[in-house]
Amino acid sequence: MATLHRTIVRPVVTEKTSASYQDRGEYVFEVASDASKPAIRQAIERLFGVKVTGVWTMNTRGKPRKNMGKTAGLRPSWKKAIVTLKEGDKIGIFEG
Amino acid sequence: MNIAFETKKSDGAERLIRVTVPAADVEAAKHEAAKKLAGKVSIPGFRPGKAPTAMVLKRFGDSIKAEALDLVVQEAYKAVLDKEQLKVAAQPHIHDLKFEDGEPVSFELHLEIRPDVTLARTNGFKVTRTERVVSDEQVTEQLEALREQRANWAPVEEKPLEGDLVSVMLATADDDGTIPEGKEYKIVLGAGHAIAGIEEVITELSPGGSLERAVKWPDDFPDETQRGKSKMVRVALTDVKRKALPDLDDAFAREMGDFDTIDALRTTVRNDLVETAKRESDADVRAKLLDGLIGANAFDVPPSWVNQLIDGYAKAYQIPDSEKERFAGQFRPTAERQVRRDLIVETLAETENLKASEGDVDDKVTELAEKRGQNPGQVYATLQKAGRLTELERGITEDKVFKWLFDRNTIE
Repeated sequence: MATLHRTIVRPVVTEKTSASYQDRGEYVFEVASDASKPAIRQAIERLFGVKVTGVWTMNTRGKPRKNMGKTAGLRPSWKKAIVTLKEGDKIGIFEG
Repeated sequence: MNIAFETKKSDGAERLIRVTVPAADVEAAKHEAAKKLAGKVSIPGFRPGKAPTAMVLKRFGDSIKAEALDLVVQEAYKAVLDKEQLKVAAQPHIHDLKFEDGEPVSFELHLEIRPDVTLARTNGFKVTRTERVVSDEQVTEQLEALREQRANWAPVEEKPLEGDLVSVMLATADDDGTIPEGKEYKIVLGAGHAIAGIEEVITELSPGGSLERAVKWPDDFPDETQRGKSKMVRVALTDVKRKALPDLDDAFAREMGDFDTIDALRTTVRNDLVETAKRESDADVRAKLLDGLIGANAFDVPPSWVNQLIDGYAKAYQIPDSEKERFAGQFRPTAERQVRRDLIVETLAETENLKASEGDVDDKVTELAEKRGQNPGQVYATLQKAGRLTELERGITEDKVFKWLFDRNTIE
C-alpha cells in the first residue's frame, strides 16, 4: 500500500490546470500509477485537510523523447487524477 | 492614490516631508508590479506572461516588493510635487523608510527646492570701471620675457657664475666614507636646485675640474634625517652654459612671427596688453554689478548645487580626500556666489528673453571662422565634435544679459 506522499506524486501546476481550477474548481495531480480512486481521495483529504467530492483518473501515455532528431524511446507514462472539492475548500499550492 | 503628507522642516531651499501611503495602495502597487513582472518571467508549465499574478507574487515576492516600493515612492513623490507646486533642484533623498507587509508605507522625503528667483531690482546700480593703463614698462617687461624665452644656452670655458646652467657629476660619500660613482645633474646656479654648499663648490671649479670637500646639509632640508649633517661630496664639473639673450632688433621680431620690424612687434604686444586690460576691467565690472544684484535680491540656494560645484573644483584641482573638508570650507562662499551668479544670469535670460538664438550662434561661428580663415561649416563641426557649442551658447547668452544690464545701470 502506497503511503500518502507516494500516492500523490506532485500537483500539476500549468497554464491549463490553473484554468481548470479557476473555472471549474478541478485540481490536477500526478499520482502513483497503482493508486486507486479511494486511495487518492483519502490522501488528498488527509494531506490538505479538505473534503473531496469527486475523483477522475486517467493514464497519460509517455510522449516520444525528443533526442536530437532521433527518437530513442518514450518519456515515462504516468497517472493523472482530477479532483473536485467541497464548495469553499481550497488547495493553497495551486494559488501560487 | 490617497497619499497623506506633512512638511516637517522647511529650511531655506530644503524641505523635509513625511509621506504616508495607505496599505491598500501599497497592495495595489504590488499587483501592478507583479503584472509587470509576469510579462517577463517564465514559470515552468506556463507560457511567458501567462502565469497567474498570484503565482508570480509568491515566487518573486522580494523583487516585487522592491519594485512596488519603487512605484509607491515615485507616485508619492510626483503627487507631493503636484500638490505643493514644488520645483526640485536635485535628486530627492528618502530617509527613515517604514515598509512592512500589510501596513502603510511611510518615509521622509528630503527635497531641495529650485529657488524661485525674482529679481526685484535690476537697475540703478552704479559701478565704477577701473581701466588699467598699459605703461611702457609693461610692454618692455613683456618683450624681456619674450627674449628670455628665446634665450640660447652657449657653452663657456670659465668658472660658472650665478644663473649659469652647469652639468655636474655629483657623488655623496656613503656612511663608510667611500664615494660612489655619482650621477649627472643639470643645475641652474642660484635657482635653488642644489644645496648652498654644493653650489659653492661648483662656482670654484672650471669646466673639467673636480673637487672633494665636506659639505654641511642645511637645517631646513626636506629629509629630516639629513638635516645639519656634514658629508664628503665629490663634484666634477663637465660643462658650463651661459644664457645669451637675443638682441631686440628686427631679426628677433621676424623670428617671433609675422613682424617685419621690432616696432611692429612692440605695437602688437602693446595691443595685446591693452586687450587683456580691457577684458579684465570688463570682468571686474560684471563681477561688481553682480555683487550688487546678489546683495539686492535675496534667494535661497540649494546646498547640493553648491556641493556639486565644490566637488567639481576639488576634482579639477586634484584635492586629496583628506584635504577635501578644509577645501570645501574655504571654497564654499566662492561656490555659492558662483551658483547665485549663474542663477541670476539664467533668470534674466529667461525673463527678458535674452537667450542665445540659433542665429546668434551662427553669427558667432561665422565670426570665428573668419578669424581663423576657415569654412564656417567646418568650424561648426569642430565645435560640435568637441562639445563646445553649449559653452559658446552660454557665452553669448551671458554677453547679452550683461549688455541688457549695462543699459539699465550706470557704469562710470
